[in-house]
Amino acid sequence: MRTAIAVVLVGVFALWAAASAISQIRRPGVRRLRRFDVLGLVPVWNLFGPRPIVSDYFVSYRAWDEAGQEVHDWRRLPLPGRRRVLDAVMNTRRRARKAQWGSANYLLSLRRPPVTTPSYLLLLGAVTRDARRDEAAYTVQFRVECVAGHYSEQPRRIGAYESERHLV
Amino acid sequence: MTATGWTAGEVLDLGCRLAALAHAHTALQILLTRRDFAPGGALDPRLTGRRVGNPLDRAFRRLVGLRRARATVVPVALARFAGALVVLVFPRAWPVLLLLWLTELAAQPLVRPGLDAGDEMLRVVTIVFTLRALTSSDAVQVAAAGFLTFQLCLAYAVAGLSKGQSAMWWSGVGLRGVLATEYFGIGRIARRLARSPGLARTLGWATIVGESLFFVAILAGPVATVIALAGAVAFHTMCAVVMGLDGFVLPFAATFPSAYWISAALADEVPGILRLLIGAVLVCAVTGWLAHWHATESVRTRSRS
Repeated sequence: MRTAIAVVLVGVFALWAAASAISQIRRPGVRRLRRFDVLGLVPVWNLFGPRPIVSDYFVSYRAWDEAGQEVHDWRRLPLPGRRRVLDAVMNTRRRARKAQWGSANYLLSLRRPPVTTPSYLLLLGAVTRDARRDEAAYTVQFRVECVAGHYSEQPRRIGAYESERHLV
Repeated sequence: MTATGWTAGEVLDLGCRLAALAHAHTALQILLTRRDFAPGGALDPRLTGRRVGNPLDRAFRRLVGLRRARATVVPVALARFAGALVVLVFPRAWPVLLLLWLTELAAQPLVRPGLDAGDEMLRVVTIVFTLRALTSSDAVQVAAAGFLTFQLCLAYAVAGLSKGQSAMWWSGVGLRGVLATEYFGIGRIARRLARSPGLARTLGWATIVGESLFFVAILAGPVATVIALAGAVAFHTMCAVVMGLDGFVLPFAATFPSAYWISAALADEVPGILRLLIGAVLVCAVTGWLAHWHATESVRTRSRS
């Protein structure tokens, strides 16, 4: 019995290793096979390759009061935010930043994103939560800007998207 | 089978403890960021769960429901944290390791948009440590250590070879670009690299070559492996400090004891000439790939400019 378990487990490791190696090949056929990897057992290891992320998505919003007067001009949401010393050990913004990046990237990839897409609603939700700190805020509009070289001497705005106005 | 005075089971125990620390770290991180799962948060499951997702996400959606999903965040993270503490003491307690994997699985649909390769490596090592704890068979322990070493070499090689396909990495523009973002960079370092394109290019080359040829150290023997692993620790630590990638250090480190042990075992069991031959063939293949892509990308860049 013990030998049988050992043989099975060694076989599992061998098959898993082969599947891991094959799944790194970026071909449509292999990509289709990845759909069967429901549990995420076969990782893709092309970290930051071939083309790395070289742009930020900044989400800003402005708010108006009930009378239609502007409460404040564009105000940026805190993500991604500057690096903190503690981030090296416990980066509490890592997942939220990645999620926000994904939502913003998706919105900018569409010409006219429907307001019911989860990405749109996620950004609207983040903006609304921030806007609620200001009691006068009644309606908000958010903007997504894609900027390359934020820390360089000449940051470049690659694209932007402005949302509809929504009730807070 | 022993190498360097340790059995494969003992080095896997050490790796398992590092994986337990990684689970505790992740669980703590999720607990500290539970506000992100609330309405208006970047990981609000009522909205992230509406994306098509994979079958696991759909099963989670049916089982828990989008409205109740948020309520599972804290209990799952607490169970994961408690399980990690138990595994720290008992690294062969397979039911607890299984629990750790299940908590990771349950957290996946919740944090899906925020997952990265550190999470993937942690999943892989956890399953390997669970499977090898099912039996004390020496063959299984060696196979598990070998698998983890293979996975580590594969991860670095694919990362390096993939970067080698782009002129951005060869020229240093990619590295400068990454570090000039607020997402991954620090202003001072970005400006320093912008002033020294040569330094950025050197670091780009070092990353590509170092990652692609990491496996050579395993074949070369334990001394070379220790140097390569020290380099890997420094690399991941630097990525954590500069880029904020704190989730890579421990999951990758969990494979390092196995890599060292396999390297020592190979040096003991496989004749040097055979290792040299295998290494030479693989190095030729890797350098051939890199040279091909470097040339292709150089021509493409020149024709564009």
